Amino acid sequence: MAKIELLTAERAPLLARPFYERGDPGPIASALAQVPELMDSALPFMGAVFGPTSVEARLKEIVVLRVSAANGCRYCMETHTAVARRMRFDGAEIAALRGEAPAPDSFTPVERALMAFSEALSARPEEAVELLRPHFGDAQIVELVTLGAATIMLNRFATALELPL
Amino acid sequence: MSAVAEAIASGTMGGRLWVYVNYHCNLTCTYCLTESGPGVARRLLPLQRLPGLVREARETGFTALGVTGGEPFLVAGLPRTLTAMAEQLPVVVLSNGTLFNRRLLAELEPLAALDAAVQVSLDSADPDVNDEMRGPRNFARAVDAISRLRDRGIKVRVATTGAGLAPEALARLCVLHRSLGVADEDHVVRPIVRRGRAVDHDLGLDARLTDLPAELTITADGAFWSPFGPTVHGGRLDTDLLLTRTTRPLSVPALAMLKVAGAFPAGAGSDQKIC
Repeated sequence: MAKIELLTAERAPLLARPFYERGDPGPIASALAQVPELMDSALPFMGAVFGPTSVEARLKEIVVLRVSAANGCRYCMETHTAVARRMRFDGAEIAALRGEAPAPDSFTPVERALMAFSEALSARPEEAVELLRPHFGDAQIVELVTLGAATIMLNRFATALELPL
Repeated sequence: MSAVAEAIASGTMGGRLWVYVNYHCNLTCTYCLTESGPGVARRLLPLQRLPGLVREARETGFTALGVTGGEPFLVAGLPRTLTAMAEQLPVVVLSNGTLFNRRLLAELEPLAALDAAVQVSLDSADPDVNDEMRGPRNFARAVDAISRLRDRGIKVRVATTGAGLAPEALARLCVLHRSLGVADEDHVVRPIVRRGRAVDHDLGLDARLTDLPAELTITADGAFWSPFGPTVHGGRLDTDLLLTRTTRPLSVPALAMLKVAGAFPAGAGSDQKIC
């Protein structure tokens, strides 16, 4: 059970209602609805950061799941484990991203660099960017740092509020 | 002219800014939207915030103020704040009319020289009918308050909340308020809205967003679409008509209201004039 009320469609504030039009918007949006003025900026921001961008979706999912595991966010780990399965990561890859096994041979050097980047961003952020330099230009580095940082923000949000799966 | 001022001028949103200063009350009316009563959470809006809010309201384009609760006069220091508010914009303060002792009346006297009114609730010309909804001896105290306020030169409005008053009962009520010196244009009749305690008593009308006046309402819990919005049921604040938690700068909830108003036409005003 969450530590705050997750607003249902019946109790959704006026600015939040559009986010409920296609049904339950999920725990993150239902929690944010408590402060509806945040939704119009926060949710499109998350959509832009986590949605399709110049960095390939598989690479982004590596960052999201590995950062979530490094930050011990149960909610984000479980939801993104499901996302990773849908994206056809295999069992060994998912176990590695969850921190439960070493990186399998199937991971490319770029993917291994992203795992190392994700761990560094969570613990030693000043060292994180250099791990990306051999593989990415400035724009994609900014994108990946934004993705990792946004994931950490959501990790803290979901863990602090004890969002339910 | 600001977007808010334009919206007020065009009638897209009401010109009156409402403020809930508290939620507690010495009465427990059967139809109370906010489940107010003596033991409820007070949800106080600190009075020291009001002068700045009122200045901003005037600058933003609001043309009048409304103060409500709970029973606002349970909040210490309200008369002085009301005077400061009325020096900026016309004010109406809603009251159950039961607390007007000599000291409070003296504190309110400066309002007589300002564009301010005290709106006293009176639901029937029949004391028993009125008191059944509003509590023992309420009729006598409210009628007495109206007279004493008017004796000090303070403008009084009478508000009647009811579920379809019979024409004859309404006519008797109008005779009563005229006899107390309250003109027809200062008598407002409002339907019971099925929110708050009215739900438990199976009273009133279900109201959709479009049925409610688009009058920005500021509370300790945030800004709402209408003074009928920040209701409480089962001790829990209703959030379905919440606009924003942010109340200052006032432009944040006001612009949120315009955004919503763009999707929904404004409802009728919060007062229905019948007499």
